[in-house]
Amino acid sequence: MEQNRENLQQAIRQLPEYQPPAGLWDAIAGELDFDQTLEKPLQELPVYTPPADIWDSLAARIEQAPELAPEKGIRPAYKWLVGLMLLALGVWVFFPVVPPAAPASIPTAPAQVAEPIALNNQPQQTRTIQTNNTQKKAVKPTSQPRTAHRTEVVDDALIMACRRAEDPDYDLVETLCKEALPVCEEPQFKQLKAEFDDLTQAHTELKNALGQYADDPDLVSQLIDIEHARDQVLQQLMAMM
Amino acid sequence: MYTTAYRITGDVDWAGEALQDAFMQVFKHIGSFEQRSTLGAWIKTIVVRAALQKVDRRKSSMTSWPEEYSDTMLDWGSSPIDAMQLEQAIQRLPEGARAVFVLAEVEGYAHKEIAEMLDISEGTSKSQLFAAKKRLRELLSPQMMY
Repeated sequence: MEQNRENLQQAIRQLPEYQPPAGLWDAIAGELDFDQTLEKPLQELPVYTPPADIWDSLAARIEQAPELAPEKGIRPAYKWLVGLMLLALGVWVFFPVVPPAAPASIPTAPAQVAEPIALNNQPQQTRTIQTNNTQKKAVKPTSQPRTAHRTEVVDDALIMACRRAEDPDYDLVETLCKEALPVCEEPQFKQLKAEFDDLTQAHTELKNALGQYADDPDLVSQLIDIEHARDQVLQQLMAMM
Repeated sequence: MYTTAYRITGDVDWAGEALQDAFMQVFKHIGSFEQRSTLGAWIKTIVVRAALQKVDRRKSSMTSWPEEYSDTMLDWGSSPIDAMQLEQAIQRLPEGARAVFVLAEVEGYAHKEIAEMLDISEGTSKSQLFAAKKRLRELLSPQMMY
Protein backbone atom coordinates (compact mmCIF):
# COMPACT_ATOMS: atom_id res chain seq x y z
CA MET A 1 0.00 0.00 0.00
CA GLU A 2 2.99 2.29 0.29
CA GLN A 3 5.35 3.26 -2.45
CA ASN A 4 8.92 4.35 -1.73
CA ARG A 5 8.52 3.26 1.88
CA GLU A 6 12.27 2.91 2.15
CA ASN A 7 12.54 6.71 2.02
CA LEU A 8 10.35 7.01 5.09
CA GLN A 9 12.31 4.30 6.88
CA GLN A 10 15.59 5.95 5.98
CA ALA A 11 14.40 9.27 7.38
CA ILE A 12 13.14 7.57 10.56
CA ARG A 13 16.59 6.03 11.09
CA GLN A 14 18.09 9.48 10.82
CA LEU A 15 15.75 11.10 13.31
CA PRO A 16 17.69 13.00 15.96
CA GLU A 17 18.24 11.73 19.47
CA TYR A 18 17.50 13.99 22.41
CA GLN A 19 19.14 14.14 25.80
CA PRO A 20 17.14 14.72 28.94
CA PRO A 21 17.68 18.04 30.68
CA ALA A 22 20.57 18.26 33.11
CA GLY A 23 19.63 17.31 36.61
CA LEU A 24 16.86 14.91 35.63
CA TRP A 25 18.74 11.87 36.88
CA ASP A 26 19.66 13.67 40.08
CA ALA A 27 15.98 14.47 40.54
CA ILE A 28 15.08 10.83 40.05
CA ALA A 29 17.77 9.71 42.48
CA GLY A 30 16.62 12.33 44.94
CA GLU A 31 13.08 11.04 44.89
CA LEU A 32 14.17 7.48 45.40
CA ASP A 33 14.92 6.14 48.83
CA PHE A 34 17.14 3.38 47.60
CA ASP A 35 17.28 1.51 50.88
CA GLN A 36 13.52 1.39 51.15
CA THR A 37 13.00 0.80 47.45
CA LEU A 38 15.39 -2.10 47.28
CA GLU A 39 14.42 -3.69 50.57
CA LYS A 40 11.51 -5.74 49.22
CA PRO A 41 13.10 -6.76 45.91
CA LEU A 42 16.25 -7.83 47.72
CA GLN A 43 14.21 -10.05 49.99
CA GLU A 44 12.49 -11.58 47.00
CA LEU A 45 15.64 -12.34 45.06
CA PRO A 46 15.52 -15.94 43.89
CA VAL A 47 17.73 -18.57 45.47
CA TYR A 48 19.54 -20.89 43.13
CA THR A 49 20.89 -24.33 43.90
CA PRO A 50 24.01 -25.65 42.24
CA PRO A 51 23.81 -28.52 39.75
CA ALA A 52 23.66 -31.94 41.34
CA ASP A 53 27.01 -33.05 39.98
CA ILE A 54 28.96 -30.06 41.28
CA TRP A 55 29.77 -31.72 44.61
CA ASP A 56 31.13 -34.82 42.91
CA SER A 57 33.22 -32.59 40.69
CA LEU A 58 34.45 -30.62 43.68
CA ALA A 59 35.34 -33.80 45.57
CA ALA A 60 37.29 -35.06 42.57
CA ARG A 61 39.20 -31.80 42.29
CA ILE A 62 40.05 -31.84 45.99
CA GLU A 63 41.37 -35.37 45.69
CA GLN A 64 43.58 -34.31 42.80
CA ALA A 65 44.95 -31.26 44.59
CA PRO A 66 47.94 -32.31 46.75
CA GLU A 67 47.86 -29.09 48.74
CA LEU A 68 44.35 -29.96 49.89
CA ALA A 69 45.20 -33.49 50.99
CA PRO A 70 44.47 -34.12 54.69
CA GLU A 71 47.45 -33.64 56.99
CA LYS A 72 49.05 -36.68 58.46
CA GLY A 73 49.27 -36.74 62.23
CA ILE A 74 47.64 -34.34 64.62
CA ARG A 75 46.24 -31.08 63.36
CA PRO A 76 48.09 -28.10 64.87
CA ALA A 77 44.87 -26.70 66.30
CA TYR A 78 44.52 -29.71 68.55
CA LYS A 79 48.15 -30.09 69.49
CA TRP A 80 47.75 -27.86 72.51
CA LEU A 81 44.78 -29.85 73.70
CA VAL A 82 46.66 -33.13 73.37
CA GLY A 83 49.58 -31.57 75.24
CA LEU A 84 47.33 -30.51 78.06
CA MET A 85 45.79 -33.93 78.25
CA LEU A 86 49.23 -35.53 78.47
CA LEU A 87 50.27 -33.01 81.12
CA ALA A 88 47.14 -33.73 83.13
CA LEU A 89 47.75 -37.45 82.81
CA GLY A 90 51.33 -36.99 83.97
CA VAL A 91 50.23 -35.01 87.00
CA TRP A 92 47.69 -37.67 87.80
CA VAL A 93 50.25 -40.47 87.52
CA PHE A 94 52.99 -38.85 89.54
CA PHE A 95 50.83 -36.91 91.97
CA PRO A 96 47.76 -39.03 92.53
CA VAL A 97 44.91 -37.03 93.89
CA VAL A 98 43.12 -38.43 96.87
CA PRO A 99 39.49 -37.46 96.46
CA PRO A 100 38.17 -35.65 99.49
CA ALA A 101 35.19 -37.10 101.30
CA ALA A 102 32.05 -35.71 99.78
CA PRO A 103 30.01 -33.50 102.09
CA ALA A 104 26.79 -34.99 103.30
CA SER A 105 24.77 -32.39 101.46
CA ILE A 106 26.29 -33.28 98.11
CA PRO A 107 24.66 -36.25 96.42
CA THR A 108 26.67 -38.85 94.58
CA ALA A 109 27.30 -37.55 91.11
CA PRO A 110 25.46 -39.63 88.51
CA ALA A 111 28.37 -39.25 86.13
CA GLN A 112 30.48 -41.36 88.40
CA VAL A 113 28.24 -44.34 87.85
CA ALA A 114 28.51 -46.07 84.55
CA GLU A 115 25.63 -47.66 82.71
CA PRO A 116 24.72 -51.19 83.71
CA ILE A 117 26.70 -53.80 81.89
CA ALA A 118 24.89 -56.94 80.82
CA LEU A 119 26.55 -60.24 81.62
CA ASN A 120 25.21 -63.13 79.63
CA ASN A 121 26.09 -66.77 79.44
CA GLN A 122 28.13 -66.79 82.61
CA PRO A 123 29.28 -70.12 84.06
CA GLN A 124 26.49 -71.73 86.01
CA GLN A 125 27.82 -71.56 89.49
CA THR A 126 27.09 -69.58 92.51
CA ARG A 127 29.29 -66.56 92.72
CA THR A 128 29.33 -63.15 94.18
CA ILE A 129 29.37 -59.96 92.23
CA GLN A 130 30.70 -56.91 93.90
CA THR A 131 28.73 -53.81 93.00
CA ASN A 132 29.76 -50.30 93.68
CA ASN A 133 32.40 -51.57 96.13
CA THR A 134 29.75 -51.91 98.80
CA GLN A 135 27.04 -54.34 97.80
CA LYS A 136 27.37 -58.05 97.34
CA LYS A 137 24.78 -60.14 95.60
CA ALA A 138 24.55 -63.89 95.51
CA VAL A 139 23.81 -65.27 92.10
CA LYS A 140 22.07 -68.64 91.91
CA PRO A 141 22.82 -70.95 89.07
CA THR A 142 20.04 -71.33 86.58
CA SER A 143 19.56 -73.38 83.49
CA GLN A 144 18.47 -70.39 81.44
CA PRO A 145 20.80 -67.69 80.22
CA ARG A 146 20.96 -65.06 82.93
CA THR A 147 21.14 -61.38 82.78
CA ALA A 148 22.90 -59.65 85.61
CA HIS A 149 24.32 -56.20 85.99
CA ARG A 150 27.00 -54.49 87.86
CA THR A 151 28.13 -50.94 88.29
CA GLU A 152 31.60 -49.65 87.81
CA VAL A 153 33.05 -46.87 89.82
CA VAL A 154 34.82 -44.23 87.82
CA ASP A 155 37.99 -43.01 89.41
CA ASP A 156 37.64 -39.46 90.73
CA ALA A 157 41.19 -38.76 89.72
CA LEU A 158 40.28 -39.46 86.12
CA ILE A 159 37.40 -37.01 86.36
CA MET A 160 39.75 -34.45 87.84
CA ALA A 161 42.19 -35.04 85.00
CA CYS A 162 39.44 -34.51 82.45
CA ARG A 163 38.24 -31.45 84.25
CA ARG A 164 41.73 -30.02 84.26
CA ALA A 165 41.89 -30.50 80.53
CA GLU A 166 38.89 -28.19 80.36
CA ASP A 167 40.58 -25.67 82.63
CA PRO A 168 44.13 -25.30 81.35
CA ASP A 169 44.57 -22.08 83.31
CA TYR A 170 43.66 -23.80 86.55
CA ASP A 171 46.01 -26.62 85.69
CA LEU A 172 48.76 -24.05 85.31
CA VAL A 173 47.88 -22.59 88.70
CA GLU A 174 48.16 -25.97 90.32
CA THR A 175 51.38 -26.81 88.55
CA LEU A 176 52.98 -23.55 89.60
CA CYS A 177 51.78 -23.95 93.18
CA LYS A 178 53.43 -27.35 93.28
CA GLU A 179 56.67 -25.53 92.65
CA ALA A 180 56.11 -23.74 95.98
CA LEU A 181 55.33 -20.36 94.57
CA PRO A 182 55.11 -17.92 97.53
CA VAL A 183 51.83 -16.47 96.35
CA CYS A 184 50.15 -19.83 96.77
CA GLU A 185 50.61 -19.58 100.52
CA GLU A 186 48.89 -16.24 100.80
CA PRO A 187 45.52 -16.42 102.58
CA GLN A 188 43.74 -14.53 99.85
CA PHE A 189 45.08 -16.91 97.22
CA LYS A 190 44.07 -19.91 99.26
CA GLN A 191 40.63 -18.48 99.78
CA LEU A 192 40.21 -17.87 96.04
CA LYS A 193 41.44 -21.35 95.25
CA ALA A 194 38.98 -22.87 97.72
CA GLU A 195 36.24 -20.76 96.21
CA PHE A 196 37.20 -21.99 92.76
CA ASP A 197 37.08 -25.61 93.96
CA ASP A 198 33.64 -25.06 95.46
CA LEU A 199 32.38 -23.50 92.27
CA THR A 200 33.85 -26.34 90.24
CA GLN A 201 32.15 -28.85 92.48
CA ALA A 202 28.84 -27.02 92.15
CA HIS A 203 29.35 -26.81 88.40
CA THR A 204 29.87 -30.56 88.17
CA GLU A 205 26.85 -31.34 90.30
CA LEU A 206 24.61 -28.99 88.37
CA LYS A 207 25.84 -30.38 85.07
CA ASN A 208 25.07 -33.87 86.25
CA ALA A 209 21.64 -32.79 87.42
CA LEU A 210 20.96 -31.26 84.02
CA GLY A 211 21.56 -34.55 82.33
CA GLN A 212 22.33 -35.10 78.69
CA TYR A 213 19.72 -32.81 77.20
CA ALA A 214 19.98 -29.79 79.49
CA ASP A 215 16.39 -28.85 78.96
CA ASP A 216 15.75 -27.07 82.24
CA PRO A 217 16.12 -23.33 81.60
CA ASP A 218 16.54 -22.46 85.28
CA LEU A 219 19.35 -24.95 85.78
CA VAL A 220 21.02 -23.88 82.56
CA SER A 221 20.88 -20.27 83.74
CA GLN A 222 22.44 -21.27 87.07
CA LEU A 223 25.11 -23.24 85.24
CA ILE A 224 26.03 -20.20 83.18
CA ASP A 225 26.19 -18.05 86.31
CA ILE A 226 28.51 -20.54 87.97
CA GLU A 227 30.72 -20.68 84.88
CA HIS A 228 31.00 -16.90 84.88
CA ALA A 229 31.86 -16.89 88.57
CA ARG A 230 34.49 -19.58 88.01
CA ASP A 231 36.03 -17.60 85.19
CA GLN A 232 36.22 -14.52 87.35
CA VAL A 233 37.84 -16.35 90.24
CA LEU A 234 40.28 -18.02 87.88
CA GLN A 235 41.19 -14.68 86.40
CA GLN A 236 41.88 -13.34 89.89
CA LEU A 237 44.07 -16.35 90.64
CA MET A 238 46.00 -15.83 87.44
CA ALA A 239 46.35 -12.13 88.15
CA MET A 240 47.80 -12.84 91.58
CA MET A 241 50.37 -15.18 90.05
CA MET B 1 14.17 6.57 26.36
CA TYR B 2 13.98 10.31 26.64
CA THR B 3 13.72 10.67 22.87
CA THR B 4 10.79 8.29 22.78
CA ALA B 5 9.08 10.15 25.59
CA TYR B 6 9.69 13.44 23.82
CA ARG B 7 8.28 12.20 20.50
CA ILE B 8 5.14 10.88 22.17
CA THR B 9 4.48 13.92 24.31
CA GLY B 10 5.91 16.50 21.92
CA ASP B 11 7.03 18.56 24.89
CA VAL B 12 10.41 18.76 26.60
CA ASP B 13 9.03 19.26 30.09
CA TRP B 14 6.39 16.57 29.74
CA ALA B 15 9.02 14.20 28.40
CA GLY B 16 11.24 14.86 31.43
CA GLU B 17 8.39 14.30 33.83
CA ALA B 18 7.38 11.13 32.00
CA LEU B 19 10.93 9.81 32.26
CA GLN B 20 11.05 10.67 35.94
CA ASP B 21 7.71 8.98 36.61
CA ALA B 22 8.76 5.96 34.59
CA PHE B 23 11.98 5.38 36.49
CA MET B 24 10.21 5.77 39.78
CA GLN B 25 7.90 3.01 38.64
CA VAL B 26 10.84 0.91 37.49
CA PHE B 27 12.59 1.09 40.84
CA LYS B 28 9.42 0.47 42.79
CA HIS B 29 8.32 -2.51 40.73
CA ILE B 30 11.64 -4.01 39.73
CA GLY B 31 10.64 -7.04 41.79
CA SER B 32 7.71 -7.74 39.50
CA PHE B 33 9.88 -7.87 36.38
CA GLU B 34 9.15 -11.34 35.07
CA GLN B 35 11.90 -11.50 32.45
CA ARG B 36 9.44 -12.07 29.64
CA SER B 37 11.45 -9.49 27.72
CA THR B 38 14.77 -7.79 28.19
CA LEU B 39 15.09 -5.33 31.04
CA GLY B 40 15.59 -2.54 28.51
CA ALA B 41 12.38 -3.42 26.66
CA TRP B 42 10.50 -3.59 29.96
CA ILE B 43 11.75 -0.17 31.01
CA LYS B 44 10.97 1.26 27.59
CA THR B 45 7.39 0.04 27.85
CA ILE B 46 7.06 1.79 31.19
CA VAL B 47 8.51 4.98 29.70
CA VAL B 48 6.06 4.82 26.80
CA ARG B 49 3.14 4.31 29.17
CA ALA B 50 4.30 7.21 31.34
CA ALA B 51 4.56 9.43 28.25
CA LEU B 52 1.12 8.35 27.08
CA GLN B 53 -0.31 9.22 30.49
CA LYS B 54 1.09 12.73 30.06
CA VAL B 55 -0.62 13.00 26.71
CA ASP B 56 -3.88 11.74 28.13
CA ARG B 57 -3.75 14.32 30.90
CA ARG B 58 -3.47 17.15 28.44
CA LYS B 59 -5.95 16.02 25.87
CA SER B 60 -7.10 12.73 24.53
CA SER B 61 -7.16 13.16 20.81
CA MET B 62 -7.41 9.52 19.95
CA THR B 63 -11.06 9.84 19.03
CA SER B 64 -10.75 13.34 17.60
CA TRP B 65 -9.49 12.02 14.34
CA PRO B 66 -11.49 8.87 13.68
CA GLU B 67 -10.32 8.36 10.16
CA GLU B 68 -10.98 4.89 8.90
CA TYR B 69 -8.25 2.82 7.34
CA SER B 70 -8.51 2.87 3.56
CA ASP B 71 -6.70 1.36 0.67
CA THR B 72 -5.52 4.74 -0.54
CA MET B 73 -2.02 4.42 -1.95
CA LEU B 74 0.64 6.27 0.01
CA ASP B 75 3.72 7.36 -1.90
CA TRP B 76 6.72 8.69 0.00
CA GLY B 77 8.33 10.08 -3.14
CA SER B 78 11.38 9.13 -5.10
CA SER B 79 13.83 11.34 -3.25
CA PRO B 80 15.10 10.96 0.30
CA ILE B 81 13.10 12.55 3.09
CA ASP B 82 14.89 15.03 5.28
CA ALA B 83 14.94 13.69 8.86
CA MET B 84 14.54 17.10 10.48
CA GLN B 85 11.56 17.90 8.30
CA LEU B 86 10.06 14.53 9.22
CA GLU B 87 10.67 15.29 12.88
CA GLN B 88 8.88 18.59 12.61
CA ALA B 89 6.02 16.95 10.76
CA ILE B 90 5.70 14.27 13.42
CA GLN B 91 5.39 16.97 16.05
CA ARG B 92 2.55 18.54 14.11
CA LEU B 93 0.49 15.35 14.18
CA PRO B 94 -2.46 15.08 16.54
CA GLU B 95 -1.33 13.52 19.80
CA GLY B 96 -3.12 10.20 19.43
CA ALA B 97 -1.98 9.64 15.86
CA ARG B 98 1.52 10.81 16.75
CA ALA B 99 1.74 8.30 19.57
CA VAL B 100 0.63 5.47 17.32
CA PHE B 101 3.02 6.51 14.53
CA VAL B 102 5.98 6.79 16.92
CA LEU B 103 5.20 3.45 18.55
CA ALA B 104 4.58 1.61 15.28
CA GLU B 105 7.09 3.09 12.85
CA VAL B 106 9.84 4.48 15.06
CA GLU B 107 9.79 2.10 18.02
CA GLY B 108 8.63 -0.97 16.11
CA TYR B 109 5.74 -2.06 18.30
CA ALA B 110 3.04 -4.28 16.79
CA HIS B 111 -0.53 -3.06 16.59
CA LYS B 112 -1.53 -5.55 19.27
CA GLU B 113 1.04 -4.12 21.69
CA ILE B 114 0.05 -0.56 20.83
CA ALA B 115 -3.61 -1.39 21.34
CA GLU B 116 -2.80 -2.75 24.82
CA MET B 117 -0.66 0.20 25.77
CA LEU B 118 -3.15 2.80 24.56
CA ASP B 119 -6.19 0.80 25.63
CA ILE B 120 -7.66 0.93 22.14
CA SER B 121 -8.54 -1.72 19.61
CA GLU B 122 -6.08 -2.95 17.03
CA GLY B 123 -8.35 -1.53 14.33
CA THR B 124 -8.16 1.90 15.89
CA SER B 125 -4.40 1.58 16.09
CA LYS B 126 -4.23 0.74 12.37
CA SER B 127 -6.56 3.56 11.36
CA GLN B 128 -4.66 6.05 13.51
CA LEU B 129 -1.41 4.97 11.91
CA PHE B 130 -2.86 5.33 8.44
CA ALA B 131 -4.20 8.78 9.32
CA ALA B 132 -0.81 9.78 10.71
CA LYS B 133 1.00 8.68 7.55
CA LYS B 134 -1.51 10.41 5.34
CA ARG B 135 -1.06 13.62 7.29
CA LEU B 136 2.71 13.29 7.23
CA ARG B 137 2.69 12.84 3.50
CA GLU B 138 0.70 16.04 3.20
CA LEU B 139 3.06 17.90 5.51
CA LEU B 140 6.10 16.64 3.66
CA SER B 141 4.63 17.02 0.16
CA PRO B 142 6.35 20.33 -0.69
CA GLN B 143 9.73 18.67 -0.50
CA MET B 144 8.71 15.39 -2.01
CA MET B 145 9.50 14.67 -5.62
CA TYR B 146 7.33 12.21 -7.41
